[in-house]
Amino acid sequence: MSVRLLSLLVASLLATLASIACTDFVPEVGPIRATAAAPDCGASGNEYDQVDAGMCGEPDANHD
Amino acid sequence: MRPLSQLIVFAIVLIALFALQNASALEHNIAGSGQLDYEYVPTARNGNANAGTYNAFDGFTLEAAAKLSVDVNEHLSANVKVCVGCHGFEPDMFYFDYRFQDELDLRAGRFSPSFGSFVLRHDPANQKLTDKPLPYDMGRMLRKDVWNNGVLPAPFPSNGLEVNGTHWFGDRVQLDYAAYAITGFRNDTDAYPVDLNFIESHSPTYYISTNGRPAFGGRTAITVKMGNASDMSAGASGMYGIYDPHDRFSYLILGGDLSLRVHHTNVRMEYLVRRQEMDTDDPSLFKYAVSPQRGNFFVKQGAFAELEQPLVTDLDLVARLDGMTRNGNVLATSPLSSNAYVIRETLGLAYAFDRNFRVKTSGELWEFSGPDPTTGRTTEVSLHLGVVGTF
Repeated sequence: MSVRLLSLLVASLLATLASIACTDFVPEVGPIRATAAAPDCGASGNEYDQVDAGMCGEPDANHD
Repeated sequence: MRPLSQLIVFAIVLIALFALQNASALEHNIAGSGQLDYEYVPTARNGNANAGTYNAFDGFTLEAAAKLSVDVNEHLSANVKVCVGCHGFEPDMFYFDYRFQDELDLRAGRFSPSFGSFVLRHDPANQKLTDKPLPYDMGRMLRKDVWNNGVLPAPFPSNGLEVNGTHWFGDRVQLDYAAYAITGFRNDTDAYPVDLNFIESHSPTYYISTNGRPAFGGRTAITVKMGNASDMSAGASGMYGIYDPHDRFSYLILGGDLSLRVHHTNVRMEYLVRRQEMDTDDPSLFKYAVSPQRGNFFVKQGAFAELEQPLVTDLDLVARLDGMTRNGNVLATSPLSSNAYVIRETLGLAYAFDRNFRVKTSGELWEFSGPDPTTGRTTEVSLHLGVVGTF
């Protein structure tokens, strides 16, 4: 087997693994649910800002 | 099997062995180890390890084990190991090995399947620190309930079959392999399972899986001898299984390990990742809205790097950096966020009063991504003082 063919195979394998890692191993989440935050957060759509500002819920709960 | 029954079975095996000693060609060996560790957490002095989620260890913990190895004949051997720790008495091993040749060995019974390199030295007698690296933590980490322990808590005994073997290429290169089918992990308790239930894995009531599907896995490793007292080893491992009773949710664990020994200096590194599917049928259980794409699983990663260096005769220095991340949705009741992490730095000393009696001490600095809801702390400190003996 030539070095060139082997390199191609290895590159192909690495690309496949990288593709899998970037999709099947990267979960997605939606916005923090209103009921999961403190009562005064409500469902205003500003949960991120409120939580980040430490106004309600857990400080820095949606990203840290 | 109840803990008392397990102890009785082990005692019967021991007695039978001694009774047979003079009547057959059995070769046997009995070994044991016991470690007593006191973990003090000055940053959470009022924490209670058994009270709830945010807690700290502040008392003695014992990990003790006795192992019986029997060579029945040149092909057949057996190993029985019982241990006592936080879970009470438990059979850690009860298996038979039938070795056709070095390249082909059949293992059957209860054992920890081949995964990573740490499991080979998970016994506290084989480590210079009192606790395990975070990816393999089984209940000694701070905030253990919130994190549900490590990526793959060790040891992880399970019932099953394993085929393994070793082949030498010349006298410098060694190739090891293993492939297995085991009961695997489970969660039969939760109506909406979202993670492995490790308590069920060591429950004294059942050592079976209710989903009827075995978990599969394997490992391969290559070791290169670089000199009389130097070698390097690299390995890759994987395990896949279904963990709920209705065969719906899977887990996939992958790992890579690298270790280097140069005379008395050891450097070890491992990386583990677990992809865990969750039951999202009831979105109201979750803290975040369930994403329609890639929203039904989380990923837990862990890694450690460890340096072990003798300073003088009988005194070893150990430095370790380890950590974990957890990405993905969490239960609404969890204090974790969708991107949580923990990092720990450890510095320890181990002094051997005797070849079989060692004192270990270490300090750990923890950094969590989220604050403790009681104290608001994201940084914790813990101190260990342990004694380990072997025979």
